[in-house]
Amino acid sequence: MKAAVVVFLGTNCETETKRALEYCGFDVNYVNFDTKNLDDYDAVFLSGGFSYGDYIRSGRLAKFTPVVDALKNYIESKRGVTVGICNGFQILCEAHILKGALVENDSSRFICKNTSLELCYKGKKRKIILPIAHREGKYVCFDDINEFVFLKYLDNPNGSMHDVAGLYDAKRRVMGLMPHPERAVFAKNFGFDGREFFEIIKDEIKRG
Amino acid sequence: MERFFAKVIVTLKDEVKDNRALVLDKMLKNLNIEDNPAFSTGRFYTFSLSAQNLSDAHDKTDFICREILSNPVVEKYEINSIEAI
Repeated sequence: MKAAVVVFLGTNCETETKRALEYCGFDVNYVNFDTKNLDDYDAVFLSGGFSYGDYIRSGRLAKFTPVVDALKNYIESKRGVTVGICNGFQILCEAHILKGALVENDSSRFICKNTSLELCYKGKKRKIILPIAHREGKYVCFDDINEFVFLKYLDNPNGSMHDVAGLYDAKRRVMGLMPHPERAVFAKNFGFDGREFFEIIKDEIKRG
Repeated sequence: MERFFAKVIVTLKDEVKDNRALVLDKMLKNLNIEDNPAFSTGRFYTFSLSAQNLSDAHDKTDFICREILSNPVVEKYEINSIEAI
């Protein structure tokens, strides 16, 4: 399976995302923000970090890059699965690819810790632990998005509405999440629950 | 084409909790300065732009606010002033 990891100016989690994906069996390439075609890939990952200094709002300026236009075509053509992690999730929301928006945490602080989550996939619920590291991670949405949520906080560290930590788009081909699964893959990380998330992505790609 | 100077303010919508404003409210109350100041915080931008006339400048400013400076899901904006320069 071929995966692209998009690199914007300021992205800083591309290396661990690439390594985690390779560990899980993906063939991974970095693609730059000026890429105009993503059709070669079965999955596109927008990884964490920052983008363009996160000026105005987190992820706001990245939505004007050519790769986000390419991503919209990629999603429209149902070519593969798109995943936004942390800043990637913020970019997907700012580009209105996913519903809602991410605003400053209720504590107004940057939160960096391991957090307990409920992963809901194919009707099964399981508790997993993944790290979070964000200041603008409070999910806000005034639409009914309950059926699209696949990841919920158990202790809601940032004040997200409906405890949302990750959700699908309406066609279930785009996933966005604030926790970092790529930081829970290797023995040097504190846990391995991230592997489960990347196995889900493989499942989603096969589902077509 | 004329040149205009715009001032705009972007704030969170009323239904979105404004943490900084709540802290300021509490602080003023604790200092016995004001019981209910009802703060609202946001971002203030100024910029200049070229347009045919004031109405055109207003439309352009509105577009910039809507598409670039704010996220309509959680934010609202207010065009404070647009003046010819």
